[in-house]
Parts: sequence; C-alpha cells; structure tokens
Amino acid sequence: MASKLTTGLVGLAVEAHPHKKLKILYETILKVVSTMPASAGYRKFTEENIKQRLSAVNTTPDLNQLEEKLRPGQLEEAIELAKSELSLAKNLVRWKPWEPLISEPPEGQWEWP
Amino acid sequence: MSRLFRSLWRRSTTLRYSNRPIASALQPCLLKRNYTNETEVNAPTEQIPAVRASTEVVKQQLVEFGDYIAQCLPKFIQQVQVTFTNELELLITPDSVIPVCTFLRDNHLCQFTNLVDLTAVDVPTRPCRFEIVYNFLSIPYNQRIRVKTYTNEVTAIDSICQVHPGANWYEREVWDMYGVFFRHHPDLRRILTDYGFDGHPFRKDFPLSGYYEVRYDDELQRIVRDPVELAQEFRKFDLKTPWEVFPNYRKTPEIEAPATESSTEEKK
Repeated sequence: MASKLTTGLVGLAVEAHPHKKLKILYETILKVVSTMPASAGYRKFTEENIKQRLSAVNTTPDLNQLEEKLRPGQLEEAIELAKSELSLAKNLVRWKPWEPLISEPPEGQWEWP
Repeated sequence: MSRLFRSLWRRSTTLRYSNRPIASALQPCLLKRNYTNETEVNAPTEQIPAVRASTEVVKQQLVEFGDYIAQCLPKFIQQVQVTFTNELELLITPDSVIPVCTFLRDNHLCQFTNLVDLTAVDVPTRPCRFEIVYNFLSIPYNQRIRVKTYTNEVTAIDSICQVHPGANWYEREVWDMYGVFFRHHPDLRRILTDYGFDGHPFRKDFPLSGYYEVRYDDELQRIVRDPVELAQEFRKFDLKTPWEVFPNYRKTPEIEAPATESSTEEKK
C-alpha cells in the first residue's frame, strides 16, 4: 500500500492508519447520534451519511480508492471532518434541535421591503 | 428593471424531501462538472468547457439544501428563503446563533468554515430594529449561505467568537456602530469611532453630519470639540419616485369593484 509523501497542507501530517482512525470516529459518531430520538432529522441524515462512509472505510483497503469514495478532500481532512462532526453531535445532544421552534418572530419582523 | 422574484418557504410547508441519497442531492460544485438541464454530468474537456449550471437547477439544489438544514434544526430556524439571485438565507431566532453556526461549520454536508461577513441592518419600523446578518462560505462545496437574526437596542445576542474567531472585530464594529451588545465577547469595545465618542453612527436616527465637530483651536493649541455648525441649513429631499417600485409587495388592498347595475335595480 503506497502511502503518500505529504498532504500538501501545512500542519496536516500524513496519517499512518487512516482506516483505524476513521472507523473509530465514525462508530463513535453513530453511538452518540443513537442517543437522539429516532424522529430527529439530524439523526436520520447523519446516520445515513456516516454509515455510507463507514461501509466505504470497511470495504476499501486501498488508500487512493478510499479517498475517491470519501470526497471531497483527502483522508486526513476526512479525519478532521469526522472529529468536528463528533463534537457537533455531542453539542447537539445538549442543545436538542429536534424540539419544536423556540419562538416565532414578532409580527412584521421579516417583512420586506 | 429585472423582475424581482423571491420565494419563501415556511418550515411547516416545505417541499417533501426526495428519496435520493444525500450525496447526489448536494452536488459539490467545486468538482468541475458540465451541467445541462438533464441530470447528466460530464467532466470538462478542452473542446467542451465546464458550463455554469442553469438557474433552475441551482435554485432547486438550494431549496433542497435549505430543506435539509431546516429538517436538522427545526428548533432554531424560523424561515428558509432563496433570493431571486439564488442566495440561500436562513432566518433564525436570536437565542440560537451559536447552535446554528456550529452546525454549519461542523456538519459533513455543510462545512461552512469561513465567516465572510458579520453586519447589522437598522430598520427602525420593525419591532426588533436591528437585523444581524452572517455570511458564510463553504470552501469544499463552493457554497455560500446567509444567516439572519434580529434584536433591539436593549437585548443582547450571543457572540460567535468561540465558533469563528474571526468574528471578533466584526462584532466590535456592530457594537460601535449600532449598539448591539454581544454576550461573552472577549473584548467588546469601540473600534472605528473616536475615543470619547457618544452615540451609534449607523443607526438611522443618527444624522449624517453627526452632533459634534472636531477642529484645532489656535488659541488653546489643541483639538476642541464643538457642536456641529453647517454653513447651509439641512435640506431634506423626498427621494421617492412617483412610480410604484415593488408591485408584488403591495400592502394596501386593491380598490373593490363598484356595485353592479343589476343589484341596484333589485334594491329599487
């Protein structure tokens, strides 16, 4: 398996074990998201997306092919993305966005012109 | 003048979400593609360069994307709209600035990591006169989005410096120019006005020439601040045009048709 020499991005080192890291991150995201109610829109879409990516990670041993499947960006960027998605999922469990709207705008607020 | 067309989608009456997988519904525009009116996609070549997507296709994509965000965050989003120039706007409650901006920054399908602009708009006729506007850019997807909230002179709004550190000076500018206070801002102080300046210049009730003028006084040998004296008294022009500007946004109802002759004959 040819690992690349550099990512081309300053401060982002080439990852030695991308499969392992991505697998752990995606599984943790799925675990966090499963604590949300099943009807939550975020849970449905995130589960669909992450399961797709997780299956790509599990079935593709070749790094170049995996990069193609996890577009856009490189594997190292995909790892950073997964980390931020995980922190987002944890925050959303606290903020509970699936509940109904907090407050309607006052009368005539969004009128234009 | 081009015909203005603005479509409003209230969250409760949004389009039914299609069953296509998400990745195809949100086609990353950065990947060079050749869009036609059919859904066929070809890589650009030297003979056939990449063609800009038609406005209907772009609008439809934006509508679906706005629908996706509204389904993920129904607690925070009051309205989603797409302007006639195909720009997506989210109208949110003022308490939900941080959750929405964090979602837009961190989600796989959004990735709006770049804060382009943070401003306020003063519309004194509205109940909450200041409208705070955030513009974001997603570099991987080459997509822009606008987030709008509202507040008045006394209500504070959360600062997004923890989400986007670049918002620091923008929020200072909004505080200085409009008087909107940002909670948990690391350093909220004036940025453009003079050190002892009183007032918020960009508000609509602040006059163009200001209240004080500053000049160097030879006798006192220093800068002095005097109430402003204009050589000519202020002339107010009514810049309205006699022609109706926005016929689609008329507020007064049409004049009702007069009673017909047959009904008047029956009364007789």
